[in-house]
Amino acid sequence: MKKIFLITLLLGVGLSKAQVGINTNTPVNTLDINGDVNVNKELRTGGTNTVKGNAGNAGEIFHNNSDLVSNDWKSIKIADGQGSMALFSINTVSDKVGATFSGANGSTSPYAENAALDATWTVLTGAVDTFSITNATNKVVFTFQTTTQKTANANSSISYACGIFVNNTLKAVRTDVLVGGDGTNKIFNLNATLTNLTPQNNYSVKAACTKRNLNSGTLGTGKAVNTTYLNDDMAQSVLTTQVLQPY
Amino acid sequence: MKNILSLLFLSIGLSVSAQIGIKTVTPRAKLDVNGDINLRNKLVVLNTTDNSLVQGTNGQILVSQGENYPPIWKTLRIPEYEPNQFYLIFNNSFSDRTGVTFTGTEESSTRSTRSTSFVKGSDFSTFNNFKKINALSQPFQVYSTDSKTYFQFETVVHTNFPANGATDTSIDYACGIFVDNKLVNLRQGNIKASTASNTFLTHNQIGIASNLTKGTHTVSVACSRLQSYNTNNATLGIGINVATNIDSFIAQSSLKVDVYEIPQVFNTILN
Repeated sequence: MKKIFLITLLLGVGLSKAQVGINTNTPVNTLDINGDVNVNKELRTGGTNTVKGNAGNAGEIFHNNSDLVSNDWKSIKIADGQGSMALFSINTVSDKVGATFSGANGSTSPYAENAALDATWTVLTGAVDTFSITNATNKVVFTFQTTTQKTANANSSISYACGIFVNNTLKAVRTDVLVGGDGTNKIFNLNATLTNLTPQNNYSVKAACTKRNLNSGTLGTGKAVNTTYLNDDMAQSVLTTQVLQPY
Repeated sequence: MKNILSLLFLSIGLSVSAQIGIKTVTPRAKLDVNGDINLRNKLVVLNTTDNSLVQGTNGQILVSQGENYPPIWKTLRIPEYEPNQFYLIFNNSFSDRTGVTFTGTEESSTRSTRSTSFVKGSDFSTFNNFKKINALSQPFQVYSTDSKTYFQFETVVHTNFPANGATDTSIDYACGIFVDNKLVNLRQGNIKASTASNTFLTHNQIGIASNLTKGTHTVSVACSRLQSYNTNNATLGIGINVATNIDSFIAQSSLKVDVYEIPQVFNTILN
């Protein structure tokens, strides 16, 4: 009894507002340590006058649950297999502006990898994105889809190409041909995988198209050029970029 | 009596800013507790970037920032698993620029029995004149017996057809996705000559496999020339150019493999 009384007295006298400061004279919490703490045994949470606090089970993590008065210990697990090569980032962008081509024919030569994004290509302004690589082992997967449409009569086909440019150099491209009368349209797909890009923040990725042989017609890529059969919503372009990396 | 002494010591420490030991006379930290500590309320840590005191938002966990810094509350960015839901566990994607080519004589005799031969589960050895696209034969892992594997394949099919005459000049071809040399999915197509020579098309294919056994599997893509119409000498290229109007960069193939699983085995996030 004497012991309890003494402790109570000490607390009452030595400590203002029943708060203890260590290395501070102005504690703002019940125990305010202005410095580091060494804990040689369990860190317990949620104890009361009658119940010892919970020390957590091995492997559990110190956690804050705003519904509880005290902190708690949480078991966090991940599924077996996760982290080998996994989806690190994913984003999809879309474009309804598209590009329209007419006039003289473009080049009908094949395209070379890493060719520069020059004036012969028109970027689909909405199909532009950025991504970052943080691991030397990586895959970058692009999925691009658009609708292309031609004008002019059925005897003149129109050829074109759409490609993916990373940091303004060509990384994947497909060519295609529209055959048919005025208003003929077609779905264009491009799926490509790049392997082990150099780690870097904010790579830019752009989808761009170019004309090949127009045969005096007009070409729309991601853009309606004959609105009897197509509108800009139907012609919309979508570009998805996925970055796969091990954890 | 011991308790009182400790508290006295503690009280002294309040004024002299020394290191405080609880049940130790040689404290090695500002507060050195030689025993367990109980928190009846929240642990609050200093955010050194704005000097605010933070007890963490709901669900956050305490993460070390290393020597000289207080630990910090962080949100753990991993999914919490709901039972009986599929999660994306394995994901990889592959590309190839060598492709496969077929001369007019390399037609698959299996074409005459297409509907009975091209069935799911058939062994690759029963597919006559199917050629594997080299770099697309790749291993992937399955970690649960309850899984779906999604394959997305895209390539360019190219021929060196001359410009079309009056007759229908075309070639039937097929591409199959195999897992451990058993057919999962096959699509066939037809490439026609047009008024322009050396026609090509983009071939898209999606295949799925369910509940593969746990462990490592090998996916491969094999294509074949099935039948030629009014052309005997045109070459067919799949995933590779056979004329110079396009190149191997344009004609490259891509194969994406995603495995969705209902997780059955869990690991701790610690190592």
